Amino acid sequence: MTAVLSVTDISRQFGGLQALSDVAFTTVPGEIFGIIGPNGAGKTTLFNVITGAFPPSTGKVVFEGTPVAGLSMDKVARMGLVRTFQATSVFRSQSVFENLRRGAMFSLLGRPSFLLRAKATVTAGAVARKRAEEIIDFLDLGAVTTNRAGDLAYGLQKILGVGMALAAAPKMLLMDEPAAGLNPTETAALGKLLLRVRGEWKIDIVVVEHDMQMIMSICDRIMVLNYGRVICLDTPSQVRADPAVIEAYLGTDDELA
Amino acid sequence: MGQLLAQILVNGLISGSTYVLVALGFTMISGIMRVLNFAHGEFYMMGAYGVYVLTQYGLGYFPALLIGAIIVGAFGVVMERLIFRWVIGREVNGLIVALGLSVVLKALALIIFGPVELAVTRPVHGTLDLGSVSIPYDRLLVGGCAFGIMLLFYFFLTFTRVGLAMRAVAQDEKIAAIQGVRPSFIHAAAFGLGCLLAGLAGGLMAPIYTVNPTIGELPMGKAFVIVILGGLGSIPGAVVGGLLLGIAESFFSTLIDGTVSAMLVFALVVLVIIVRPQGLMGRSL
Amino acid sequence: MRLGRFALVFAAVMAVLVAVPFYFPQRYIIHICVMTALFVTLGLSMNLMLRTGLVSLAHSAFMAIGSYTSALCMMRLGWPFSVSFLASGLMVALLALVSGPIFLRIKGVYFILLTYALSQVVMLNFMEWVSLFGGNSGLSDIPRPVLFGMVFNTARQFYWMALALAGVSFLVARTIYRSALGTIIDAIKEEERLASSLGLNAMGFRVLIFCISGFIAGLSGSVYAHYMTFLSPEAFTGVMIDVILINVFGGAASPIGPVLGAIILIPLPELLRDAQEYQILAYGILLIALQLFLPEGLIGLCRRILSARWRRS
Ligand SMILES: Nc1ncnc2c1ncn2[C@@H]1O[C@H](COP(=O)(O)OP(=O)(O)O)[C@@H](O)[C@H]1O
Ligand SMILES: [Mg+2]
Repeated sequence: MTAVLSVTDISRQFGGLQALSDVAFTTVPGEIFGIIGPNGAGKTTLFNVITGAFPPSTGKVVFEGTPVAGLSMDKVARMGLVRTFQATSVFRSQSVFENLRRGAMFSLLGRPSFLLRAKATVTAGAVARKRAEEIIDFLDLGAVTTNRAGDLAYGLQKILGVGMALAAAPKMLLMDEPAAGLNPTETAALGKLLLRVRGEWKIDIVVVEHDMQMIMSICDRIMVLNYGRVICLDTPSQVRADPAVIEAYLGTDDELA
Repeated sequence: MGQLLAQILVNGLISGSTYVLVALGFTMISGIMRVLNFAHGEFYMMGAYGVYVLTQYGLGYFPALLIGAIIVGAFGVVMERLIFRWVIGREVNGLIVALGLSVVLKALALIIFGPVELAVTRPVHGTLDLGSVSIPYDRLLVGGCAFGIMLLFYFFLTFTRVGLAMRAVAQDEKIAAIQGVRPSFIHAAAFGLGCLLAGLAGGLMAPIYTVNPTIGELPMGKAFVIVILGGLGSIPGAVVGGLLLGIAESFFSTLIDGTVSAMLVFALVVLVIIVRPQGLMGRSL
Repeated sequence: MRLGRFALVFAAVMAVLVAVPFYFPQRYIIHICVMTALFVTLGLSMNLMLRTGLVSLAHSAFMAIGSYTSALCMMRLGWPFSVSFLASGLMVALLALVSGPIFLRIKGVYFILLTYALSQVVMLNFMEWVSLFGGNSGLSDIPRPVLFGMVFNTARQFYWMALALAGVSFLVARTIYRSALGTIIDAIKEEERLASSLGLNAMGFRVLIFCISGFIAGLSGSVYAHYMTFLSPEAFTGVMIDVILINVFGGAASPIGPVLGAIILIPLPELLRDAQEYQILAYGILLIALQLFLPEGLIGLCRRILSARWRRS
């Protein structure tokens, strides 16, 4: 049984700004769920609320039957709901291997109480190394394992970020604009990668993306946000034809392919 | 009872207003440069010594106050260009550098003036009696000047180009730079202005207390409490926090005693952090 | 194999240090050695904080709390030294455990400001609560420790005690840095948000390090109290800057940094007893210059020279 994320009527204000109003959706097991919307629509804020970076003003978030809104980001991650960030985020001073090892290790030894279990540290070390190696194979990073992450090309850093999230053994990945800053070839490759993550690792994905081509081709359903409101939630072909969506994107730089 | 409360309130507002002057500069520097100026109290100390020295040379109190503060401000600009600009945005490094400068300035004061208490003659004498409330004129002068300076500072930030540019840099340095503001100029100006305010506060307080090399430590400690209360980088927060601290201290120390007052203020700070972690006024200039 | 080599070097260095009083029996040299060993311990305690990306200005107060706790446990409660010693560490660790989660609630430099405020309040208590702490004149006639039936009453014995504490602190710090915990605190320092997103409870580990660090600082205070046999709040004023300076000078990136820093900087003022204010002036200038020109300290300088030579050969 794969994970289900259920978001009910989430709202969030920043001072006078209504960043999210009554956002609701539920994912189906095994699906890739896309979220699009113009800049400032509230997509990142939605992820922040779901993963506990800050609490919603009102509303509920339930992951696998457990309410998670208001829990801390690390706790949510240890429950299997792991996010990636819009800007690249890697441990720049460390090697690629070490980055992946940390991804695994932090999910296993995330709380100080691990120090009371001497054996946990030893087994976690072995598990983390094994997971890191698996991911290096999966992502084809064999040629750069010992390179400093900060020295990698931008595209590779983004891939590494995905790898670290995978190393944390998620049941569901929340990815914030994983293709931002990538060229079309890299973007297409990333799209394929996400399909493989779902196929081979059995991990559900919720992805925020600007690249329409990619998101339309990989998502089962897409939710469109505008000014913090859901204006459409449907299959890619329906979303493409929705007049409200077309209007929201009119006059912006974002092209609806 | 009402009489006592009024007296407590007036005392609190007057001491609070000088806290505000110190906290304003501290919070502005941290908001604009992301540097915690742990030497801020020493700029206060310099302002006090400035008044002492200049009045010794026969200058009147007010010219001495003004000239002293301007010298302190200019010194602040030099320090910014010489030292602090290398640590902008790196808070821990900035802190260590500032700690170093604080040690240096205190040692210099000790070397030049010795560990003695120096007195500055009071520019005014007597007490204003309003029936229910009585205020010594020298205190009234300090409070009046402090509020006047706050008002000027407010106009400066709201209506002058440099003031507006400072606020822009505090909000987002990159965007401000795109709009044609030179951050390096703003950093120096803000640092100098912050030090000038601290120097003014020191000069204002000099006739009330005596002057020695460590007098800056106390107001700096207060400034820390104020920025925690008001939100680091927040100008309104510094004003509200400073006045609140002044009143709270005046209240507790009149009704209980000084030590308990310090403890209660600390408890108040902890309470604010628990209930309102972003500070009373949030962060932004 | 590596452990073997380290153990050998460590044992050899300790053996040399243990022998120091036999070659330099002068009272004032041994006094300097005691103070240096105590500051090595304090420097390592601060090093744990710095490595986690935290600066504490409460460590002078922590040392003071350890001192007063240990002294009062023996004087008022009649506890044996061994228990009082542990109590001094636990007392500070407890304070860190309670205050840490509150102080760390707000991100960024608030922690520094709050530790400063805490330290002021703590020191104020020592000064004003005269019936318990003796006020500004402090406590005197603090009893000498008795351990395993042996009375510690010579400076030399205290030197060995302080040396043992410094050695153990060094081993603790080194073990932490080389363990999973070391990786975790490095990660928190470098990219906290990323670490949390992967499941790491950054706040929990910060508080843990604050407690461990406070525990060590408290213990050093205990040894100090029984060595001096008198305490006053004034004695702790310079400690706040010294523990940071030691780390900045030696280099905070390695536990050897604060050890070197203390060994070089602590004897200086004791040797040059005159012209205190000029010394303080030099300290301040040194602190600024190091931070600007040699931010990684002596250790960083050594590493740079070594790696440059490496590349050439
Ligand atoms: N922490 C915050 N504080 C104040 N405003 C915020 C914060 N985070 C986001 N916002 C505001 O909320 C709105 C939505 O932002 P965001 O979720 O980042 O949009 P998107 O990711 O869709 O581009 C924006 O107007 C942004 O300025
Ligand atoms: Mg976004």
